Amino acid sequence: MSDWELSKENVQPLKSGRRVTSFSSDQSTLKKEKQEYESALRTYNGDDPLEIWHSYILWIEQAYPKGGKSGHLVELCERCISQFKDDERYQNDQRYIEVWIKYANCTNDPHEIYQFMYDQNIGTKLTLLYEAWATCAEIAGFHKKANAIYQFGVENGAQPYDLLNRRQEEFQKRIIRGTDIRDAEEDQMMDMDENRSALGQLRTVGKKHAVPSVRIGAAKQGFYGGLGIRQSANNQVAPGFQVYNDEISAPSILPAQTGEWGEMPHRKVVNKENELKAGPWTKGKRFPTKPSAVTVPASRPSFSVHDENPDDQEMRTPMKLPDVGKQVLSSRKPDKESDPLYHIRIKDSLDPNQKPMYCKAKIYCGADEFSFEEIRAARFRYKLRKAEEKKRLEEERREIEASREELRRNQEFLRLQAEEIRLQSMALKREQEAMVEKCRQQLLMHQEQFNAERQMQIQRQKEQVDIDIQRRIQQSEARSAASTVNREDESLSSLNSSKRTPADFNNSQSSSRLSAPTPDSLKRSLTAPSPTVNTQEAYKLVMGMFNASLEIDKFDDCGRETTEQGMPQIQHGPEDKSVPFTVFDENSAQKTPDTGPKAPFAIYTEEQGQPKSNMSAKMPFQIFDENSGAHASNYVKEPPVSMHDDERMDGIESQAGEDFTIAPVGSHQSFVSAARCASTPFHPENNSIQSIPDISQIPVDKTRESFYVQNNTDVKNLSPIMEGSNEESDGHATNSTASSMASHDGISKHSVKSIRASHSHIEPIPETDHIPTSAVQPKGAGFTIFTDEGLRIDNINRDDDDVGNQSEHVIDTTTYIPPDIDDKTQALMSTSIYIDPHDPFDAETIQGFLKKLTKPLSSYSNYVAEPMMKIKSQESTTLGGDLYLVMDAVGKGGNAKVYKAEKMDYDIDFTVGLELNENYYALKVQSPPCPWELYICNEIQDRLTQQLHPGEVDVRPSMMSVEKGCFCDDMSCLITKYYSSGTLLDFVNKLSAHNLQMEESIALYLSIELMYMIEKLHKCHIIHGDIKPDNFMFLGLRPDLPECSDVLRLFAQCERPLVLIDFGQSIDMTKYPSDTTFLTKTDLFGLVGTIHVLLFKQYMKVYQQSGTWRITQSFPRKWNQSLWKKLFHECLNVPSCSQLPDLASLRQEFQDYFLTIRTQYYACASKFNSLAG
Amino acid sequence: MKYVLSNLNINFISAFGINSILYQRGVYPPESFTRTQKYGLSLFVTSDDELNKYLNAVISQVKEWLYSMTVKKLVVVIKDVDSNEVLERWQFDVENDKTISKENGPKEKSEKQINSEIASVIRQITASITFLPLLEGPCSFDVLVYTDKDIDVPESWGENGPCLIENSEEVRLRSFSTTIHKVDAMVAFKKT
Repeated sequence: MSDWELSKENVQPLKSGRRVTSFSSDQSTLKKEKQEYESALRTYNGDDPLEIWHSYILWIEQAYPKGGKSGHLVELCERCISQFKDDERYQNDQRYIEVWIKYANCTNDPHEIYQFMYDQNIGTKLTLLYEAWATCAEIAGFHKKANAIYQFGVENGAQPYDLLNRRQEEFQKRIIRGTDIRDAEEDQMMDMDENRSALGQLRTVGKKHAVPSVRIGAAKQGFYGGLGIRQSANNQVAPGFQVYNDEISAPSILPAQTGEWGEMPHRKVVNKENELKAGPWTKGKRFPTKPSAVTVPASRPSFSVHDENPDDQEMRTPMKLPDVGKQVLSSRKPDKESDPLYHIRIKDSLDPNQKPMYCKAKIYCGADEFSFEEIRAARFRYKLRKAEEKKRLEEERREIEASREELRRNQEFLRLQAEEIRLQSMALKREQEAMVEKCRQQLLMHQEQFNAERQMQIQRQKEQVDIDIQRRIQQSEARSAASTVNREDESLSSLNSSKRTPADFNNSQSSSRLSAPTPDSLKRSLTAPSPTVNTQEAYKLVMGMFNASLEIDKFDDCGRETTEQGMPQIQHGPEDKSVPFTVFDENSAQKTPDTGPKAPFAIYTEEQGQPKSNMSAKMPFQIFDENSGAHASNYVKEPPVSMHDDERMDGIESQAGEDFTIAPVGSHQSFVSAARCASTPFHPENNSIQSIPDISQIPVDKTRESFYVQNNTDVKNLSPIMEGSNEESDGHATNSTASSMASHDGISKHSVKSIRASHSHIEPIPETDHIPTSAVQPKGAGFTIFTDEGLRIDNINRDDDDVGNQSEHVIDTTTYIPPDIDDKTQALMSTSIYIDPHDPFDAETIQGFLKKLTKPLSSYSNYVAEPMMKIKSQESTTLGGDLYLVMDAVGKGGNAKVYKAEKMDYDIDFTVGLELNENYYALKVQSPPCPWELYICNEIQDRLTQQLHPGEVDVRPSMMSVEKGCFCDDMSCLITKYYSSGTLLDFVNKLSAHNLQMEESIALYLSIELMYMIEKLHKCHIIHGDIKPDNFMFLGLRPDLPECSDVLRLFAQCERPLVLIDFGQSIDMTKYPSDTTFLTKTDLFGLVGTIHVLLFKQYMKVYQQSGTWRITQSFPRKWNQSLWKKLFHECLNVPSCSQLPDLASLRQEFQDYFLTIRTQYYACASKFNSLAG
Repeated sequence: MKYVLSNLNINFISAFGINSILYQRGVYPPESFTRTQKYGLSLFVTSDDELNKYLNAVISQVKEWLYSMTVKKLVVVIKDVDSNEVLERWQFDVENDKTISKENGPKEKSEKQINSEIASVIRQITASITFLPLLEGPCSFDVLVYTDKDIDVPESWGENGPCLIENSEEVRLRSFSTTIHKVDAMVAFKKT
C-alpha cells in the first residue's frame, strides 16, 4: 500500500479502475484464490457457466496489475470465448462481449476480431461492441470507418441506445476539434514553436501502429474527453467541413454482415501470402562433403580403438532429469507465436476419429492445467460443500417445522378451549330448554285443570240443559204428548254437532287415527260453555302459529267444509281451519279414547301410552314418533342433538327405516317449495284462495327450511311434520292477533320455544328461501305462482324490526328488482331477509365441517390469518402483506360489504401495471368471518381441476376464485378479482335501456355457458344455492369464437363470458352421507330463472296447468320454441331428486342448435358487447 | 516564519494540489498546462486565463480562512458534465492545531521536511491514475470548503451539499503537516 505511487509504471490502468488493495496482495493468497476459481470452473453445473468465467477474468485483471502474461489473461479469454461461441444465450450478453473486447485488446489486430464478431452476430445488439470497435478504428486513424461503425450500431438497434448516441456525438466532437487544431496550426504556418505535449495522444502509423518520431502538429490526436478550451475560442467559426456520415459508402468501409465467416481470422490465414512456411529441415540441400582429392591410405593408428561389442552393450535410454523445484504439472506456457484464435480454430478442426477417453476439456479448462486427482478433489469438495449446505438447509427447515409444530399446538389448545366454551354454552342451552319444558308442563297442568273445569262446566250445562229439556218436556207434555220425543232429539243433536271434531270427518279413512279438531270447530265448541275470551284467543293464536307452516294436508276436504271465517284478515290463518292435526301412534292406537268431542287435540307418545287429551290444545302439531331412537341416531351430526330427548316435543316424524330423504319427493307440488325457496313473493290476488294443493308434504316452512325430513312411505293419511314459526318475537303472530297478543304472551312463547327445540335437529338445509314479505306484494314483482285450483298463501308479513334478534345471515333483495318496478315495490323489495342461524350455515355446523377437513383451511396458500383494520372506502389498508387502496363500496348485504380496491404494488413495472383493471380487486368484507366461502371456492377449483379432461370445456375461469382470504376474530375479507363490466342483470338492464331485444343466438350462447357452469358445479358435488342473474359477473361476449364446426371445440377454446360469484350459501354435498339427497333442483330453478331474465328481461312467473308448471311468458315465434320449452319444462317439473333432468343432454341439444345459427351470433355479438361495456 | 510555512500549505492546496488533479485527471486538455518546478518536482500549472482567474478567486478566500484557522476540509469534486454525477472526490482534511497561540509559538519543523512531505502527496496524486477509473466524457470540477459555522461567507460562495459518492471506494493518501496545519488527503471514486 505504502509504495504504490513509486511503481506506477508497473500497473496497467484499467478503464474501470482498480482496487488499491490488489497492489499489495501477497502471492500465496493470490494462488489460493486462483485455485478456487479454477476448481469452480471445473465443478460448476448451474445454468450460467459464463458467470464464473467472467468473474474469474475480472479477478485476474485486478489481481495481476502488471497485466501481461503473468495472469494468463489472454488464454483465459480465448478459452472463454471459444467455449461459448455457439451458445445462443450469450450471443448478446454484456459479460460475454466484455470478454471478447478484452481479448481483442490483447491481440495485435483487434479490428479483425471485431469484424468477426460482427459477422457472427456476436454482440451486435450491444453498444459495447460498437463503442470498442469504433474506438479501435479511431485510434488507428480510420475516422470514416469509426463513424460507419457507430452507424451500424444505430441501424442494428444496439442497446443502450442513449450511450451509443452519446459516444457517437463525442466522437464527432473529437473529430471536429482535431480538425480545428490542425487547421489552426496550419494557419499559423507552424511559426509557433510547438512543444511536444506530455501524455497527449498521438496518431499511429503503419501496420504496427507505431508512433512517428515527429510528435507535433498533425501527429497529435484529438483530445479525448474533457472540456475543450480552444474549442470555446473557435465557437463562432462554423466548421468548414462535414463529418463524413454517408450510408452509401458504408458497405465500402465495412463488409456486409454475411454470417458465413465460420473461421476466425488468424494471422496465418490472413497473412499467408507473406509468410514463409516452415519446412522440414531434411528438405534443405546438404552439401556432400567431398572426399578429399588425396586419399591417404589408411594407416593403422598407434592406439587401439575401443570397439564395443554390441552384444554386451547395455542399451540405455537417455535419462531426463526431473526439473528440480518445478511442479510436474506446471502452469502452461503461453503459446509463443500467438495466433489469436488458434485454439478456436483447432477446436473446430479436431480429428473426428479421435476421442479423448479422459475429461480433456476439464484438464485444460482454465488458465492452469489440472491433474485428474485435482479434478477429483475439486469435485469431491464441491459435493461436500453441497452436502453441508443441504444439511444446513435441512436444519433450518427442521427448526421452522418445530416452530410450526409449536404454533399448531397452541392452536390446538385454543381450539380445545373454544370447544369447552361451546360445550358450556350447549349445557346452558340445554338448561334453558329444560326450564322451558318445565314451564310448558306447568302450563299444561294449568290447562288440564282448566279443561277439567270446563268439562265439569259442560257437564253441568248439559245437565242443566237436560233439566231444562225435561222441564220443557214436562211442559209440552202438558200441551202435546206426541211431539215430545222428536224435539228432544233435535236439540240434542244440534248441540252435539257443534262440538264435532274433524275426527268425525276422517273416520272413513282410518279408524285407528285420531284427528284433532280445527281451531274453528274448537271455537264453536267453546262458545257454548263460554270460556273466557282469552282462552279462545290463545287457542287461535297458538293454532295460527303452528299451522302457519302447514301448506297442504290431506284433509283439505274438511278444510273446505269449514267456513272461511276470519280468513281475509289473517294471512296465515287459513290453515287454522283447513289443517287438522293428527296424532298417530300405531302402538297405542287401539287405546284411543273418545276424547274427540271434548278435547280438540290428542297426543300419544309411546312412553306414556296414555292419552293426554287435555294437553292437546297446546300441542297443535302432530307428533308421530314411532322410533325415537332411530332418528336420534340419524341426526348425530347436528350439534343440538340433545333436543331429541324431549320426545313429546319432537316435531319430527320419523320412520323406523334409515332411508332419509331431505327433499320433497314426488308430485309437482313440491315445486311450490322450490319456487318459494328461490325467493318467490306470492301473488297477492291469491291470498284469499284457500285450497291447498294435494300433495303428501310440502316442505315450506315460512322462513327457514326448504328441506324437510320427510316420511316417504305410503301412509297417506299421515300428515307431515310441520314446523311452526321459529321466532320468538313472532312477526306473524303480531300480525294476525296483534290485539290479543299481550295477554297470551306466556303461552305463545313457551310453545314456540319448544317447537324450536324440535326444529333444530332437522338435517342441514340450504337456506335458499327468500320468502318475501308483505301481503301487499304488487303484481308482477318477483316470481308468481299460480295454481289452477287456487293457491294457499302463507305469506308472512315480517317486520324487519321484529326479527332483529336473529340476524345471522341477511340477503339483500334490492338487486332483484326487475327494471320495470315502481318505487313502492322497490322499497318493499329491499327489505332484507333473515335466514335461520340453525340451518347448515350455522356457524357451528360449518365450524364442524371446517375442523374435520383433511386439508385444514389454514394450509391453503390463499389463507391468511392476520389482524385487520376496519375497512373503509377511500382509505388504504394492508391485507395479506399487500397494500390496497380501497375505493368505493360496490355492493352491500346484511353483514357483507364488497369494495373495489386497487392493489398498490410498488415492485411491478408501472408501465405494465397501468393496463386496464389488472390491479383492481374486490374485497368482500364479512363480519362475522365466513371461511366457508373460501373453502368452497378452493374446493371448486380443486375438484374442477381433478375432473378436467383435455378437450372439454374448462369452466374454472367461470368460478370465482379467491386470491386471498384474510381472517381474524371478528371479520373476514376475501380478495377476488374485480370485474368491471357488471353482472348479468346489469347487462340485461342495459339492453332494455337501449330497447334492444335479445337475440336468440346470444341467449343460446349464454344459456349454454350457464348450463355448463351448473352442470360442472354439480359434478363436483357442490350446490351453489343462490343462483340468480346478479350472481353472475358478465365479462362480455366473445365475438371471436373460433370458426369451427365441432361444438365441443368451439366452446372449449374460447374464453368464458360469465363468472359465478358468491358461494357463501353453497353446500358441499360430500360432507353429508352418500344416501342424502339434496335439492339440487334449487340450482336448476335458479338456472331457468336466470335464463328467463335473460330472455324476457323479467323475472319468471310460473303457473300450473294440468299438473305441469309453465311460465307465463311465451317465446318469440321465430325462435326454436320447442327447444326452449323443453328446457323450462324439464327444469321446472323435476319429478324427484333422484330423477334430475339430464342437463348435459339438454346442453348438447342447445349446442347443436347453436351451431346451426352461429352466423347470427357473429353478426350481433360485438353490438351486444359494446352495450355491455 | 509562521507566515512562510502557512503559505506553503496554501500553495500546495490551491495552486499545486488542484492543478495537479486537474491535469492528471484530464479535466482540462494537457496542452493548456505549463510546467514549473516546485517541491523538487516538475508540476503542471494551468495557463488558461479563465481557469486561473477562478482559481485565484478561490484561493484568496481559502487563504483567508486558513489564516483564521476556520477551514476544516477542502474538497475538489469532479463531476460528469452531462449527468452532473460526482465521479471523484478529492478531500483534504485540514486539522488546525488550535493549541498554538501567539505565546506558544509554532512547532519546529524545517521547510525541507515539509516540502518532502508535500512532494510525496503530489507523487501519489500522479500515481493515482493506476487505480482510478477512466473519466469518460467531459467533466467539470468544483471546490468545496468546509468551514466553521459562524463564518462570513462572501456572496460568490454558495451553500452546497457534501457531494458524496454512493458506493464508493476510498483511498487514503499520505498526510503532511506544517507547523500549524495538518492535512490528510483522501480520494474517493465510484466502485465498479
